[in-house]
Amino acid sequence: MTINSTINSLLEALIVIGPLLGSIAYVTIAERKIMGSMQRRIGPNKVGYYGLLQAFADALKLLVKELVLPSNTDKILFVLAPMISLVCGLLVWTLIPYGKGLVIADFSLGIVTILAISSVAAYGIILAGWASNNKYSFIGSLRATAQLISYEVVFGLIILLVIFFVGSFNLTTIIESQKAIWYIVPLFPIALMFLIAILAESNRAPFDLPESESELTAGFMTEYSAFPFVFFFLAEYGAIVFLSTLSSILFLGGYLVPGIESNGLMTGLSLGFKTSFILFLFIWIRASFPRLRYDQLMSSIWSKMLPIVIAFSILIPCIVKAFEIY
Amino acid sequence: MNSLLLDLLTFSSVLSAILVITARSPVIAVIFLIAVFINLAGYLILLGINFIGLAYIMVYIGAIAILFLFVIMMLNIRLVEISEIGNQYNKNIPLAIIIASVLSYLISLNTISSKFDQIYLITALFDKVNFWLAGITSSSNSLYIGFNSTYNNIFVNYDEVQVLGAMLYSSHGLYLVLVSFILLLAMIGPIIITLDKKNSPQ
Repeated sequence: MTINSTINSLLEALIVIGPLLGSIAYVTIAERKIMGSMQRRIGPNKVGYYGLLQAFADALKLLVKELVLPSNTDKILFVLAPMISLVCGLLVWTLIPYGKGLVIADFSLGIVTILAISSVAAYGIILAGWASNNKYSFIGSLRATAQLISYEVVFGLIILLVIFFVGSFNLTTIIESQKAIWYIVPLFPIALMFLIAILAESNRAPFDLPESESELTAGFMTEYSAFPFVFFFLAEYGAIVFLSTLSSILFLGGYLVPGIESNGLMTGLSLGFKTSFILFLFIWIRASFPRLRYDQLMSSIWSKMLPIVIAFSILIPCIVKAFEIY
Repeated sequence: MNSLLLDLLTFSSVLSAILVITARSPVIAVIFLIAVFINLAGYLILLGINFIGLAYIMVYIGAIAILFLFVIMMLNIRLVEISEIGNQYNKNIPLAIIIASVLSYLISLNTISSKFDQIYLITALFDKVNFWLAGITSSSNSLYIGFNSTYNNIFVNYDEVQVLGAMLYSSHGLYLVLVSFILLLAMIGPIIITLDKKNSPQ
C-alpha cells in the first residue's frame, strides 16, 4: 500500500461523505418545509434565505451542547452504539454507482454486501437501548429491532426478485440491464411493497413506533445528547437517503436517462432527481398517514406482505424461465 | 500485508472467543460472540471466499446473534446467581482438561498423518449414490477446480455464487438433500419438545 493509494482512498471517502452530509442537511430542511406547506404553515424561514441554513444552525447548536453520559450505563457500549450506526450507514455508499463507472467499489456481490452491512447496522439501535439503562430506550430499541428483522425478510426477498431479472448481484449490471425498461413497469406491485418495506426499515412514519413520541419520549435516543445524538440523527437520515437511492437503482433505472445515451453530469443528475422524488414520497407519506399500532405493524408484514412476496418469488422465476430471458 | 491482517484477525477472534466465556454479563458475552463472527467473516473475505463471508455476516450476525441478544436482554438474569452456578462447574476442570487434550490429540492425528481417509470414503460413497440417482460423475475435488480461478478463467470467468450453485445443484445434489433433512429436523425438534399433549385444547 503506497502513500498515493492511501491519499486516493481518503479523497474518495471525502468526495462521497461531504455531499452526503450536505444532502442529509437539506433533506431535513425539505422535510420541515414540505410538511409545513402540507399543514398550511410556513416552516423554518429565519436562518438564511427561506430558512436554507436552518439545518446548519441546528447542527451547530447540537455540537456545542454538553455531552451527558448518564450514570449506571455501560459507557463503552453507550458511545459505541451510535458509532456502529453511523459507520454502517456511511459504508454502504461505497457501493452505489453514481454514473457509468463512477463507483468506489465495483464489487460483483454488491447488493449482498449492502444487505450484510445493513444487518450489522441494527446492532447500533439494540445496543443503544440496552446501554442506556432506561425503560423507554429499551422498549424503543426492542421494537426497532423486531421491526427491522421482520421487514428485512421482505426487503431481501424483493431484492431477490430483481436479481431474477438481472442474473447478477452487481449494482452497475442491475442498472445497465434496465436500458430496455425500468423494473417498475413489470414489477409495479413489488415496487410499491418495496416502498413500504423501506419506510419500515428506516423507522419512518407511519412505521415510526420505535420513537413514537407520545408513548416512548424518543425511543432508543432518549438518553442521548450532543455528539452521539448527532451520530444517530445522521445515521437515520443517511439511511433514508440511501434506501431512496437503492430503490431508484432497483426500480427506476438508477443513473439512466430514458431515451438518451447519457454520460457525465446527466447520469448523476438523473440519479439525484429520482432519489429526490422518492424522498418527497417519504415526506408526503409522513404528512398524510397516522401511525400504525404495533400489532397491526407485525400482522401486516408476516400475514399480508410476506405471503404475497413469496407467491411472487415463485411466479416471477417461472415467467422468466418460460421466456428464457437470461 | 494480507497475511499480517489474517494473523491479526485470527488473534482477535481467539481473544474474543476467550472473552465470550470469561465475560461476567451475558449480554457482553453475546457481544463478544458477535465479534468472533465478524472476525471470521473478515478472515473469509480476505482469503477471497467473499460470498461465504458475506453470508456469514447476514446469517450469523444479522439473524442468529441478534435474536440471541434480543432474548438475553429481555431475560431478567441476576449476575450473582450466574456466578454461583458457575462456581459449581469449577469442580470439573480436570475432566475438561482431559477431554480437550484427547480431542486436540485426535484432531492433530487426523490432519497430520492420515490424509482424511475416512472422510474420503464417505465422499466416494456419496459420489456412487449420486451416479446411480442422477447419472452425474464427480470427482471429489471438483469444487476446488471451480474455485481455483487459474484453471478456467482463460475462457469463462464465473462468479463465486455461480460456481457454488453449479456444484450444489449438480454433482453435490445429494449433500443438499441431506442438509435439508437436517434443517427439517431442527425445525420439527423444537415443536415436539414444546408440544404439551395433556393441556392442549383437543
